[in-house]
Parts: sequence; structure tokens; C-alpha cells
Amino acid sequence: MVSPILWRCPQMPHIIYPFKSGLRIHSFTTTSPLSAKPLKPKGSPPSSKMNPGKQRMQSSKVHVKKKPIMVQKPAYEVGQRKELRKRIVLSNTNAIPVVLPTMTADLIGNEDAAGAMFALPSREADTIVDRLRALEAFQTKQHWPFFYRPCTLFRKETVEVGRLLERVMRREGAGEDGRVNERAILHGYYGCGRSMLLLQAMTWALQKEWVVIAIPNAQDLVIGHTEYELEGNSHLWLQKAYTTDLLNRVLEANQKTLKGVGFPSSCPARAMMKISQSYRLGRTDEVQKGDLMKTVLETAVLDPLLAWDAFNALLGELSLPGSPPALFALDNLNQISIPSKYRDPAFNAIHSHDLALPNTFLAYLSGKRGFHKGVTLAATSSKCSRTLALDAALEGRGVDPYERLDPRIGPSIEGAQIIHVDSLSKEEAKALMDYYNESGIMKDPVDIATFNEKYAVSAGNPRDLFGACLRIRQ
Amino acid sequence: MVNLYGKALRSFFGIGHNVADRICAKFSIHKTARISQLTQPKVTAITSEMTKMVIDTELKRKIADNVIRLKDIGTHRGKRHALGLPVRGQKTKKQIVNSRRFNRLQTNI
Repeated sequence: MVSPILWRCPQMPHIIYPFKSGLRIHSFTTTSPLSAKPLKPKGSPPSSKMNPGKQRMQSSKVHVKKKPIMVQKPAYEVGQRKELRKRIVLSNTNAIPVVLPTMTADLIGNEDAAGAMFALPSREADTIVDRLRALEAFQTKQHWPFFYRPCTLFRKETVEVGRLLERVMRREGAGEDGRVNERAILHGYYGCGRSMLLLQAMTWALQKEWVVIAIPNAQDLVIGHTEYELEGNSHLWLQKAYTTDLLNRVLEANQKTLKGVGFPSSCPARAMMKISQSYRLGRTDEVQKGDLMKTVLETAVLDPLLAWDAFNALLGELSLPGSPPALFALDNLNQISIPSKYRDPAFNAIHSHDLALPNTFLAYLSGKRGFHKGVTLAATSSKCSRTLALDAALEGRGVDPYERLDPRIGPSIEGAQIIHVDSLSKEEAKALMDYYNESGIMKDPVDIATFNEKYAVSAGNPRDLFGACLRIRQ
Repeated sequence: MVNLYGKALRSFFGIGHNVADRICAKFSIHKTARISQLTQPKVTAITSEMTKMVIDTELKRKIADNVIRLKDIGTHRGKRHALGLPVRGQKTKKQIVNSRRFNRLQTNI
């Protein structure tokens, strides 16, 4: 017979032990409550060495921690931070003023002046610096705030840039009516002064009352931060908002030229200020023959829809005989040699050359379009992702069929003179270091040992030379 | 001052970077454009484009319907969804927090 208790079952019923269950032990003491020890007082244990009175006094001290006064910074206005970031300071009253000759238009192409410092014309009556500022020729990276007034170094590359202007001016002076277009690209290592050479070219052009059109940073055109739209006829993408800004800058910088002030009335350049044919602006507006160019631009600046047509009208007028010479400059050419960040409706990346403004500039650079008298100047940049096709084109290498290089880049800069911007020569470096020394930036006197050390450390690179000269003070 | 690409479009369930990029490209709108800067025809075009798309509540309901369908036809996936357990053969000895959170028949729409 099977036992009623399943011994190996986990749900085994409790086995009751008769003795254990009945056993109850009561805790019991015979000590009377009076003879018992008094209860311990509540509080600190007797082992604590602290005097209770003292402790109370201390605990009654209330340590009020002073809250640090929080001054909340006022919130930035819209665009305020960008303004701070892009602010250009051109003078420092704490710096020691250095007496230097002014960079005048007489120096264009002057070889003897190479290797000396010159101040940019910034007298009371002169507005060149203001006009350069309007063109955004100065950049924040160029260490302007260290010096009393903006000065530049006249280099052997400056002579080469001057030659371009000189050739155009010579033709102008001779009164010949033939077209002359000079096209060049400034190319070199990082910090070698390409943007500064553009600035020098613009300074001269403004002094000679040329029409200066400058795109200060080509990156703004391709990073997809401005409006864009397709134009049906040319299949190019217009950037009307950027074009409006560009026209605004052109208008501000070239007020004098566009007004025709400074030209004798017999001068054909004066006639240019009046439009030679009627143009269509936007869909409805039209400018008649004989209108002032300045008025057209002023109208276009107010309405982005008219900007592109007005810009084309300006370029068109500058290509006619009798127009004043023009300088078309663009910095950071590399940026328009890579696909842009814009997308077409089918979500393909738009090639930078399909954007209207870069396309127009490259047409001028490659000679497809031209001014009547003018210089087209571009500068490459070292702060850009790799542009193999442009590098190959600049070196004049033939395209290797096994390399997948962009076939559109090579023809876009075809025929342009390539000015190699080299490192500083010893004379140039000496002039620059003397200037730093006189401005109070460089503490040590410029003796042979210091000069050699700084020149060797920086390898003649202007940007590195500035760093090397400044560092000694820290 | 609402950025179209960054804030407005991507605030909808079912529109991420990719879709927002494509919508912007379709109407030639740059990425830093603010809604106040857009012209009225473009706003209308984007609105009509988005009404065609399955987004937000509609998309959430669609996902829930799919799960319910699986349950109704008696699949393993449907059952696991109903139990709040991992659906794709994961082990259940240790953490299955996300399954508990997301695998359910009724989603909060």
C-alpha cells in the first residue's frame, strides 16, 4: 500500500511535530523596575568628546551661504552674433602708429617698390577703406586689429597683379578701342597672402575709378544657405537674395564711378552711366535707354526679383565700348569647383557651375564672356575639401583617363594666367618684421639672429611669420 | 522664426532628415529657410504635398493595424506582440525592456 504522504513531492504537506508546536517560552525577569539602570538619554553617545553646551552653541550658528549673484546675459538679437563674428576692426589706438607711404595708384606695376610696406589710403577725404570694407575685402583672419591703421606689404606678386591692371590701363590711355581682358588665378600654399593680393588689386582699381565687383567668399554661394530657383531659359539656378546683396555692395563701393563723377563730360566713360539700350527687369519692369545705371541698381536692390536682370544689365553695359574698366574678383575659387549643397527637384546635387553667379564668373575667367576693358581675378583657398580636378587644372596636368576627375573644371579656368604666390623673400620678411617691431607687436629688436630664427621657423610664410613674431611676447 | 527644414517639417511623426531633405529639394527651398520667408504658393505646395503623405496619426494607426492583422491571423509575431515579448527570436532571460515598451496591440495614438 502506498503511503498517504508523498515523500518526494515538492508540495508535501507540513508534518506537524507535537512537541515543538506547543512549546512557548516567555521572557521573564526577576529584577524590579526600580533597581534597573536609568534609560540612556537621547542624543549624542557618551563616547562623544564634545561639550554638549558648546555643541548647542555651534549648532545654533546658522551658516547662510551667500548665493552668487547670477547676472543673466541678455539674449542676442537676431543676427547679432553673426555681426560680432564678422565684425572687422581696422584700427587699434593702443598700437604705435607707423609712418608709411600711402599705396597710391602710381605704384601699379612698379618693381622698385617691391619689398616695402605701404599704408592703405585712409585719409579724411578718402573713402577707399570704407569702400573696400563695403566690398568685404577685409577678412577677420587677417590680424587688422593689432595695428594702428591698415597697411600691406608690397610683394613681387603684387607687381604681377599690378601688371594686369597696367596692361588694361595702357590700352585705355592710348585710347584704343580694342577689347582687353586680363584673367588670372592667384594660387599658393596656405596663408601665403592670396586674399591680401586681391585686396591690393581692389585698392588700386577703386583708386583708378574702375567698377569693382567682388564676391568675397565663394563658399556663401554653394553651401545652400541662400534662396535658389531655376531659370527656365538658361537652365541655371539663380540666387536672387545673394545677387541683391552683391549689387548692394557694388553700389556702395562704386558710388563715385556709377555717378560719373571724376570723368570729364567728353569722356566716353561718362556716357556709360546712362544705359545704351533698354533692358527688361523681372517680369514687368523695364528700363529705358538713357536711364542712369545707378538708378537701375538702386531699384534692383530693393526688389530681389529684379536683381539678376539688373546684374546682367550692369555686366552687359561694362562690355560695351566706352565703358569704364572693371575688376571682377572672387575669393575661394575651390569652393565653386565641387558640387554644391543645393539639390534639384529630383534630389540630385546641383553642380556649382550650374549656379548662375559662379557660372557667370567662370565665363569671365575662361574668356567666354568679357568686359570691354577689365580684369578677372580669382584666388584659391586652402580651407576647402580636396578639389583634385582643380589642382590638376592649375598644375596644367592632362586628365588621366583612369582618374575620375570632374571634366567641367578644367575648361572653366582655361586660358587664365596662374600667378603662383610664393613664400616671402628675405627683403619682404625683413620689411614685415620691422613693421611688426615698430607697431609694438614684436618685443625683440630685429637683429640678424632674430630675423633668421623667425624666418626659418615660419619658412617665409606670412601667416606663420606673424604667429612667430607675436609669440615671443607671451 | 521657425526653420522649415529643422523644426517645422521634422516635427511630424514619419518625417526625418531624409524625407525633409527631399521635400525641400522638390520645392527648391534651401535648408536655412524660415517659414516666414516662404512665398504663399510654396507653403500651399508643401501643404498639399504633405496631405498626400502618410504621416503622424495616420502612420501610427497604420503601424498598429499591421500588428493587429498579424495577431488576427494567428501568427507567432502577432502573439509575441500581444504578450509584449520580443518578436524576432531574441532571448527573454535578461533585458527585454524595449519589447515591453513597444510591443503591444494598442498603441497610444
